[in-house]
Amino acid sequence: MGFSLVVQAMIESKKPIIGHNCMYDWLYLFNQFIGPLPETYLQFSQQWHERFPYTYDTKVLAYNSKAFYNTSLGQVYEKCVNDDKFKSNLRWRFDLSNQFTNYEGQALLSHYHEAAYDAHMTGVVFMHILKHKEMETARIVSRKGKKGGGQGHRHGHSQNSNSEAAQSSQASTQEEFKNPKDLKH
Amino acid sequence: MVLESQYPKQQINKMMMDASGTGRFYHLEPEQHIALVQKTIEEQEFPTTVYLRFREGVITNLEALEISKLFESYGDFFLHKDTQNSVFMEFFFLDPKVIPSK
Repeated sequence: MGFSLVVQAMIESKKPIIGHNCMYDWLYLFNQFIGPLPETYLQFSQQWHERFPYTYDTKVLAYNSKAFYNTSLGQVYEKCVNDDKFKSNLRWRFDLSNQFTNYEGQALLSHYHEAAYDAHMTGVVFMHILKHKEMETARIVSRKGKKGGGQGHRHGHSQNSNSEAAQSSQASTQEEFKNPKDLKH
Repeated sequence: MVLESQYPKQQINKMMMDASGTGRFYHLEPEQHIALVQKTIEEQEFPTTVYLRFREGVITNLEALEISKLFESYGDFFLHKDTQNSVFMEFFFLDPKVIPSK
């Protein structure tokens, strides 16, 4: 039992589950706490999806955002908390009450690959990337709105507008980096 | 709610396939996985993939990691042992010193 109860609670809650480059983690979690791995990948995806319908990989989020040259967790985290494009978008702080002071102050790099700190970094990165993309989309929609302001159809087309905005967003960021294949991960 | 916006909706249940960043994904939504398999089959182009079948017993007791060491001089690849006697190897780098034609 033990940790299986935590996993059971996660399944019942249907809350999003988030990891970084986490496919093997999910396989391991399934095998250790849910049941033997099925024979095929399709069966696994069915059984996983029944239990965890909202799963995110922050490496995928970072990679597809086209905003990072290097998508390793530490590098993405550093960019999110230090780069002007990201850092002012969100504010967060550790809960240091009850003597949880281990992650306070300097030398935080030494905590990389420590499970709790990796989990913290993953959470921070998740929120930062989503916020960054949300704001990027909003900027593009706003820019388009200004350009096409006289056409009088701003309302009632939000679905299309968003979709176009996302495409434009992808195009503009790809242009920014010239050659996305050069991205390192 | 930020999860309701377009980007997370596009990326949900998509897992990175490899750390080297080939931009391929595992799908945790069965329908997406089926669609991907279907698309891959339809394309029928696997120019960097080799399928090797071995004589009975040669690799039966070897794990994928051990089998991959037999071929490491050819370059960098993913290896998948699909039966007791066969493997798929997908190259993403072929060493021109070993294979001059490449």
